Amino acid sequence: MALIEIKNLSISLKTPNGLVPICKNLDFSVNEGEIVGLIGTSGAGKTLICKAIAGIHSRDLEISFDRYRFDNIDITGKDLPQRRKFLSERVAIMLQNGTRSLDPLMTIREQMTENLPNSARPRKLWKRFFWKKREIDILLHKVGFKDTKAILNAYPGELSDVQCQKVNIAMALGRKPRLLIADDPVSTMTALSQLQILRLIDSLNQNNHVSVIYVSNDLGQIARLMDRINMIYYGEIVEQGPTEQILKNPHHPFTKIMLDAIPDMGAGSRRKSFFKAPGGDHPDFQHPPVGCPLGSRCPCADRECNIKPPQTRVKNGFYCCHFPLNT
Amino acid sequence: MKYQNYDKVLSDRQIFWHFYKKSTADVIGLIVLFLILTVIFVIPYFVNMDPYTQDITKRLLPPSWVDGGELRHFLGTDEFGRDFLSRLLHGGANTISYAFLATISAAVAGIALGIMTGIDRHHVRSSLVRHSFDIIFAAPSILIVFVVVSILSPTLPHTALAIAISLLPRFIHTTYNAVKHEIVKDYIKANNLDGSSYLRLTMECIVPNILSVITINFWEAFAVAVLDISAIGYLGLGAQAPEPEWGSMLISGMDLIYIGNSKAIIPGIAIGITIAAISQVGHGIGRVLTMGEKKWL
Amino acid sequence: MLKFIARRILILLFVFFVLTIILFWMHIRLTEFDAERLVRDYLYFTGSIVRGNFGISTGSKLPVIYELKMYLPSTLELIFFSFVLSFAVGTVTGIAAGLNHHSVFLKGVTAVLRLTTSFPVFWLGQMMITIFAVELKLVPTSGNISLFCEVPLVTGSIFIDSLLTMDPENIKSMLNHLVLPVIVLSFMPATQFYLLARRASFTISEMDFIRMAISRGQSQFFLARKHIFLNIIPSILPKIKIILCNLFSATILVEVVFEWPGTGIWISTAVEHSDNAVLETAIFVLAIIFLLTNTLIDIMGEVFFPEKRRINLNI
Repeated sequence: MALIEIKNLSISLKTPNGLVPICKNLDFSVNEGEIVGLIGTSGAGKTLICKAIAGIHSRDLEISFDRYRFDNIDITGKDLPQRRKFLSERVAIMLQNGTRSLDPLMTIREQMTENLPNSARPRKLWKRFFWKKREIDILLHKVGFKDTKAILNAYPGELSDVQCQKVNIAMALGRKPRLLIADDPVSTMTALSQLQILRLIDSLNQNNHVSVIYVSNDLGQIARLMDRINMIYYGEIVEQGPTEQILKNPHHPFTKIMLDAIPDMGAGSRRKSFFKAPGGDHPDFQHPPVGCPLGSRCPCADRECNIKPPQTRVKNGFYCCHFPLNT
Repeated sequence: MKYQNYDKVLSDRQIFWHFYKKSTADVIGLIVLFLILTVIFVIPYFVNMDPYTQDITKRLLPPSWVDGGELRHFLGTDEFGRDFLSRLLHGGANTISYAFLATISAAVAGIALGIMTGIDRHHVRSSLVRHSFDIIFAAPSILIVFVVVSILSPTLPHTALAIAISLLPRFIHTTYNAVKHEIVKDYIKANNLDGSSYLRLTMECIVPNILSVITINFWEAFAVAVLDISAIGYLGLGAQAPEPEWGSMLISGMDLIYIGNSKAIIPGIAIGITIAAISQVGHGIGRVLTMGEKKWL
Repeated sequence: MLKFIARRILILLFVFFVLTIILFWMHIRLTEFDAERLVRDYLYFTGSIVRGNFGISTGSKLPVIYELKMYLPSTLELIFFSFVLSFAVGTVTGIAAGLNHHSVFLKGVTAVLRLTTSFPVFWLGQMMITIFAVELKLVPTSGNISLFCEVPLVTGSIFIDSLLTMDPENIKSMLNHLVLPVIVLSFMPATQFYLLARRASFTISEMDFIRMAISRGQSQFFLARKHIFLNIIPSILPKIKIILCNLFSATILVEVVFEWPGTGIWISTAVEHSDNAVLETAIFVLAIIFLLTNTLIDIMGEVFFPEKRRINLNI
């Protein structure tokens, strides 16, 4: 059952030189109760896609899509303010830096109070007294804070990154969303702190039936969390499929490159791989190349890769490459 | 890969102009400024303009396109019979050149002091030097002009000196902040470890990188200086009669407003257009020089 | 924080000391110079100034301190009203403009505003007098109250004094005279506040916490009121010092244009007639007021917006 379905999403950036297309004709969907991953190098457009889905992109961007269905309700026809209002009740977002996601001049208590939606107000009259205070306490306990009073009276600048991200999750919990968009929330933390946040996201997914779109830079321990993975390169989804298949049997060379980049802590000997890490970065969005964007960086590239862009093939997901692996 | 389509390399000046002319307002400002400077400074060399001769029989003549005006006095005459157009041009020359003088002297002294206090390792000493100029920073420019003008006599060069003093702290502060930003960068440390002296460090590394800040500051200060010089002239403390100057022409024309004469407004409009042109050019230069930084406009 | 306040007060005392030296040097240039008794003269001079004994004005033969009490509050009330008006109008419109940054209409408005504030404030005042006072006859042309109104001198500020008389005629006349100078004075600071607030609010509106608040469905008005307004202030505070400075310079000019009896006219006549006592007093008092205000603004900025609670914008 698809929770979100977007067809033909295009994102372009308005620059003084004209419109620069970043994503073209993207098809994206998330099923209920699923954790979907968006993995790619930095600057490939993952954050833009997240913000476009949530509706909070900056006005510099031009977003257009053919169809946007949320939970079987079609919101394609709505303009931006209506879409934002519709999505604000159903989508929660977590950004990269926890401390910067909170207003530095307000205490945590004030921010969480402001954050509670009016729809969460209890019906029964005797439960209504101080419901906000109790609700905040419950939420903070759920994310694992023991001493809620100290946290509530603090300012965001006084809390560490991990604590701020937990507060963000608590605020997201309070809104009871259907979808959580997590834009690389743990990359600034050490592995132990990452585990705490990931466990919280996982419990959100299992216990509260919240679907998650998880954006990340590397495949590492996060891959075990996800059900399906999209690999993004140069603004396009180059491969998509279930996690086990992508980890064991990647079809696109880019996926293989990313997999090889994971540090192998256990192996004693050096890993000799046919795919050495390629240098360089993805091409500039203002001067799109002819043919496959991976181009000459790809270890198994050939003449055809530089002439025409690759086709999309569907097999347990889809991938686009002229010379796919493992087929 | 980006420039592979270009078959020639553009010089710095061409790149600057290419980006500058993208904003029409800035180009208009530049054209207006250029026109004003040409008219004021170049024309009196070719045409004989006399702002001083008084002719009582021809007082308060209207401009030549109105009834009663003469062609010889193109914009009419003032209350003493002096030709208004030549007074306007000579007055403009006075105002603008003394304002420029004040700004340049403040800039040179302020930048030197700013760099010296910025490089200085001794924190208390540089702090002391900067904060002693704070008193000039705190006091409004008019007050400083009062002090200088009461000690020396009220003439135009003394006003320029006073305005230079009042502009000094802003140059010191911004140069100091810019130098402080540059000094913590790693390439300075690398150069220092390689053994360059302080003079060489300053000349080759720091100054080229703070030039953009200096230029932007200079244009803002120039606009302020023109405003201040005419303000002091308005108070009667600047150019003394019969020296023409836009501010003093404005106040001597203040009584003429009630009889609806145009002489009272024209110097003010001239001041306004000049300052607007200078600010617009300064804004454009600032926009081009800070283009690489986070854009906000 | 206490360390910061102590440091600022120390700097204030140091600058005060430099100020007395400058004043003494001025005093010597204008009167006689006796090399032997220099230090004694300096101590006597500083002591009398600090105690409030400023000497006798040669123009009116009154002690300078009486004239100060007459003229200074008038200027201060003009500055106060125009500061409040320009701050209110400027920041509100600036925040709104920053949030709607990509509107072409607002870009045009900003360009026009920059143009109109290039015109000098005294010329603008004259134009306003011509249009509103002479042609349309809506407001009076000069002075701070009508000559027919009798207002006893209590504090020196015409606003407070006429309110104290409780006479509606007086109050009406006072407000009538107050309107035009305050509006003329407010143009420049309002534009400066507008530009500052616009830039700051645009930078803040791209920040993460505002994006999160938008994703929760807050309206722009709510955002502006709760989140943006207070976060802008730490960046504006240093510029307020400069704006106040320019405001005072403009006030002196506007007082001359509108014949408002304040420090502007006082000092101008003193310079023309070489009234040294008045000059030194005026400079001393005004410099002290500005130094105190600057220090106060710095301290308030540090108390209300300490380092871990502020956003440092690079304006």
